[in-house]
Amino acid sequence: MEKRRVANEPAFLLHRRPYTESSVLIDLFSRHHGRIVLIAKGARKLKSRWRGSLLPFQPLIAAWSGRGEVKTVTGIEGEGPSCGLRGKALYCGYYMNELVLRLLHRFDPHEDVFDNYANALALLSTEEDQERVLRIFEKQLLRDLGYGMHLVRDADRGNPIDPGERYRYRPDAGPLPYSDTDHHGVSVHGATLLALEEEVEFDERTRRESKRLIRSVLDYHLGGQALRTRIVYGQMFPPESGRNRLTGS
Amino acid sequence: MSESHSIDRLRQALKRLPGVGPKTAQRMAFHLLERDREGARLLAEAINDAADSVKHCVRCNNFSETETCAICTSPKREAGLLCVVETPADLETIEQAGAYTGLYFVLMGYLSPLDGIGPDELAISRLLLILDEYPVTEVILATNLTVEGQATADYLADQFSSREIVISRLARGVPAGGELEYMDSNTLNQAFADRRAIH
Ligand SMILES: [Zn+2]
Repeated sequence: MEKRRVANEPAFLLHRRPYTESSVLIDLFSRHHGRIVLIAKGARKLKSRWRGSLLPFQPLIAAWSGRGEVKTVTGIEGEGPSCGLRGKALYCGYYMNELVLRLLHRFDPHEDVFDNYANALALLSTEEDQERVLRIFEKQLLRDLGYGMHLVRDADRGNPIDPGERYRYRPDAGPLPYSDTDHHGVSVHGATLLALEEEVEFDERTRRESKRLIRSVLDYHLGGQALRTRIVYGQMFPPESGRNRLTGS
Repeated sequence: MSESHSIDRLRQALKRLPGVGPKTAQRMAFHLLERDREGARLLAEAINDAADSVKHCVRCNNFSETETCAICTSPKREAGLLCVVETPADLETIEQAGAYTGLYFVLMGYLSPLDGIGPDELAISRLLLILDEYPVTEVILATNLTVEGQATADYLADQFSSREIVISRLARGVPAGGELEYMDSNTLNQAFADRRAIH
């Protein structure tokens, strides 16, 4: 049974929605208690001290009580400044929130995921290669949830991955030596698998291949349900505009 | 199961209201049937009527029973000023405060990626058409000061950047009657960032 009272708990707000005229329902990702749904009573009122603290992408310190599925917030405040995500980085943040909401069960603590999440948020606001930040977070998330990807040995004979070779990565099995006759899985170079494993800088091919690769693995574990943030990201930043920006036209 | 079909339908219908769970829906249904049949009929009529006759104003996108609403047709409003808000309730609040004399545009929501709400789900293409058609000189982005409201304002500002219009955002900071001791740190930090010289 969940403890009745929790205090001083590091957390991030994943999502909030209005509940009643004065209250909001929030999804918190806490370090020691995992994902929790809470009601913040009176948080929509002008006088509420919590109103300015119920923001995503900001380290929070939260307290709550209650025995049921939905807890009641007893205190919540920002700890340090907000990550200040703007533009594309903000939508990368929402995408990470959706992954956590969809892949973590309620009340299932994952301190490793929490720390990687906090780290990735901080990197999104500073590092230019946002795609790399996302790929590494996704890889760590899959690993910490027990769906770890096979990145150093092939799934056929367990031979070390050769950076110069091509493989077909099957979400249910791992990388298999490339064959023209087998069209299952995603085609990737060994170098891409190793770059993900070693978390080195990405070149253009690694960026392209790792995106398709991890997307197929995530889709497999998400049971084919589309990620909403991915669809909205596509609306906000259509692929053509990205290409124009790159070529400077 | 002797529960009547009509009562169950009413309960299911009431449950669609925001913040109404199964228990509240049941309480409302029983109240209407036990104590206020007259009220129940009034409610049904009013809902029917509104659902049939309320449309969106072609200019500001707010709810309206006429093609263009009363604010948009008023000669007293400054046509060069356009205030963009998230909801009809926001517009109503600004109207009640009384100081704003320009026109409005109601987005009917805000960008919320986790709810699957992107630019295509909001009336943003309508808003761009309005800017083409009418002599707007300043757009005031009065979306909420939440992360989503700010993201919506950023996106709109980006869409307008090639136009010769002033784009402004509501000032934020310490509310009237606010005591610093009880201010959350985000609001306080923002108030410092947006401070203004008075002398
Ligand atoms: Zn109107």
